[in-house]
Amino acid sequence: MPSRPDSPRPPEPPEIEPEFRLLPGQWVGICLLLAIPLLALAGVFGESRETGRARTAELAIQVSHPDRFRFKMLSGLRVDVTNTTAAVLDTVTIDIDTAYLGRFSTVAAIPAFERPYTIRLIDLEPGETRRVQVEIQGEHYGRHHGEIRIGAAGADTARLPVRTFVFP
Amino acid sequence: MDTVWRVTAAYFFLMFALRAIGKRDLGKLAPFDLVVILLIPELLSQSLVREDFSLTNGFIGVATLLALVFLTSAASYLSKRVSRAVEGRPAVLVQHGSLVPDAMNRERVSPDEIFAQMHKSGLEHISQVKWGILETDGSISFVPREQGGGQQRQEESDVA
Repeated sequence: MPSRPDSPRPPEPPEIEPEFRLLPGQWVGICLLLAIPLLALAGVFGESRETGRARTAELAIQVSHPDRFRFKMLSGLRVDVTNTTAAVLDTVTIDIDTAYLGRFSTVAAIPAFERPYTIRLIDLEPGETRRVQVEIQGEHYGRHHGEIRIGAAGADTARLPVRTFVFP
Repeated sequence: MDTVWRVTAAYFFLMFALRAIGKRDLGKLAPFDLVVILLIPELLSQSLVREDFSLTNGFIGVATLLALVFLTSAASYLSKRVSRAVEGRPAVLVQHGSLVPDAMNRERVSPDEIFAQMHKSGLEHISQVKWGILETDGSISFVPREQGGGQQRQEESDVA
């Protein structure tokens, strides 16, 4: 309907009662779309860590490794080794599966690897705890798993599984 | 999750900023506007993703952005108040053959621009225009004065 000649504004469009409606397929898409940021806020796509513990007759061992992290991001393994005996342990060997560490790039350890991927701790005093840190960068997508073997020379060895998922 | 907050903050900041510069500046794409539009993603991209260039982060960023777009559009549809806050209201620039200087000053639209758009709509003189309306998308629509039978609304999407 035309507006009155003296009207200060053109006619407004007619009002309808707005209702929120979506097609069934749209509901699925919208729910997925909303779920992604919500899951991200809950930390599902972020880095998380797992900790494993083991003991041998001479050592108490704690291994913390990334359970999941993102492609090209840096993370690391931490291995705490404690001498639980009353004697000095000349050599403790920490051996990490090549099949596991080989899936990452920029693999660097403190103390440094003696050979891929073995670290030796020398003269561990009674009650002393030493920390070994291995920095890794996500290089290949998917789940990677392996084993860390830790033991004093001539004694039994503890085996701890490590599993890490790298998001694409 | 950092990316969700960063994309959300960037979205509302850009929405506020684009709303603040006005409808007319959105409707035309002058060289200066093109520079701004090209620079904004350059400036924002680093702060949005930081050092995380993973596909996962990209998906999260895009999903957050699209979810915000959907929620804004749904809220705008359901609430007139939200719609006005987000999209603004059309502004009347020509009223019964006369320019409306208040609205033109507020929207920074010059008489030259109105006349240029009128010419594109086949209108020669301001007296031929019943309504000249700056729409919320930045385009100017004209409703010609009745000349014998009915009236028709002509919309000109203006690209500078």
